[in-house]
Amino acid sequence: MISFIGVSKEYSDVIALNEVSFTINDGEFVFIVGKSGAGKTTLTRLLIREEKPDAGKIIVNEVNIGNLADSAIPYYRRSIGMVFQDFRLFPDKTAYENVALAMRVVGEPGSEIKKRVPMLLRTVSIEDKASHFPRQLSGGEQQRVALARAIANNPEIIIADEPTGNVDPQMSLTIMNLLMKINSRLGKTVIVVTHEKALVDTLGKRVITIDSGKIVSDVPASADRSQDE
Amino acid sequence: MSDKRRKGGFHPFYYIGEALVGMKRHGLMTVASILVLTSCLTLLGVFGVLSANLNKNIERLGLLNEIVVFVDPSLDSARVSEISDDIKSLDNVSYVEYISKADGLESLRQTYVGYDDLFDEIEKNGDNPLSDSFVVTYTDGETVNELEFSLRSIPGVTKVNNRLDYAMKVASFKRGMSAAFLWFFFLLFAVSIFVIFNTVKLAVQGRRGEIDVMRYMGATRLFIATPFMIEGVLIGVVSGFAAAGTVIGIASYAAKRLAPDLSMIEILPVSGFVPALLTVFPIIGAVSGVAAGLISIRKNLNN
Repeated sequence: MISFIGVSKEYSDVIALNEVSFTINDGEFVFIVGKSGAGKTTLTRLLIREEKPDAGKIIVNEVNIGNLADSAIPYYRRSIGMVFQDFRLFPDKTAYENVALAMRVVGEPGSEIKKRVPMLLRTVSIEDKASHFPRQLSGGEQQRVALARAIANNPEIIIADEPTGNVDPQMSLTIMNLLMKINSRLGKTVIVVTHEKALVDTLGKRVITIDSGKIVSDVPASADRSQDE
Repeated sequence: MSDKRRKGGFHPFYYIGEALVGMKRHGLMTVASILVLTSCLTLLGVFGVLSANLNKNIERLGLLNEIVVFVDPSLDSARVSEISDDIKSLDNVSYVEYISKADGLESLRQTYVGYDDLFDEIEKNGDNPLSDSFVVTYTDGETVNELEFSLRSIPGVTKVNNRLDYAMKVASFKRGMSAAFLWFFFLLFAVSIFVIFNTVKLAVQGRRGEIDVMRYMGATRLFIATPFMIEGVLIGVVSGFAAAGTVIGIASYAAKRLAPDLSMIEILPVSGFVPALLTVFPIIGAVSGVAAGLISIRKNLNN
């Protein structure tokens, strides 16, 4: 479970987040939406412990991540899979090697890497491009490799930062479907940070809207909405 | 957090592969680093070989710690023996070697091969012109003038050859040369560290984006830094071997060219230096690489 409790963050007199509180349960799929500069990136950076909050607490799986020692941060980050708008694949590594590197980072043995990487590439339907370099792949294909990399170490949480920002609308839907598949089939908590309100509205998931560093709405998933009604 | 999250992971082939890729990416800086460190180590090696040869020859010629005392040729053996006892009783004397005039003549015969007729004639006529002598080895160079005065004062002693002045000049030359080479060496060493530092810095900066992604994946600082450290070590080791080869080449060439012209000088065989050069130089190179790599990573790889 992820809990933001009265979290504030300020950068040289600009308030990026102002007493933000919310909770995301295990296995939930949540969109965090907002305009540019609303505070989405700050929220993400706090969640991956790139930054510490100025006030408040961020509790992830019962650990106050603001109190983590520097040496413990890498191990905390292994519980999170990150997907970026610009994919951030390693240009001199093939799709296979990009996914393998994520496993190498956490010390998986070579035999395990050989066994699991093809399976991961199959999960995101890119197994036929395993030996391709990022420059030989389309935007959508690169994002699928990035997704495979994000789930390589079986993290509990997936954070996708504008994952559809660099792909066409059709591919956007494919990427979102993949994220939902990861959420429903693998039981991962998925947090998608985006400004594509239209796409978000069609999927019926929980949507937290941020504006000027404050949560302005927190709309539950459509299934929960109907339950509430 | 589960145990899996705590796994360390050691992938030597990955680290070495990444280091080689890094060296290739910044090929020019890598070559510059290798050249500078090779020059530095070559200078050190040439100085070392020169110094060893100089020491050997100084030792061989007995230029240091020895005074030769000649006695009156007309003295009988009993008096010569008394003089020997007198010398041994002096302060600062560690060893006394008696060389009879016959031994002296024999030594000359060994040195000047081809003049057997002359030496045979001298021995036959019994007119050996040499004197009996003592080679006195002393321990303290500071009080050698007092010792020389005491030796001259012994009745029957006709001549005292103290080669201290010459030895001091040689030693002073050696010290001067050592100081100059050491300063030059430290200067080049500092330049080497600086160049490797910058090569690693460029490698880190060139992969800043990738390093960030690795950090988000949960890579430890050690995992990220190891390829850069190996890059520094590889530069150092390659430079070490290159310098060892260069020094061996220079020493072999010099020995070959100088030996016929400088017959009075004993040149140490180059083969004697090879094992030391091939082990010590790569180690010095590796240590330089690690030092420069560590400094660079500490400065450029922020958590």
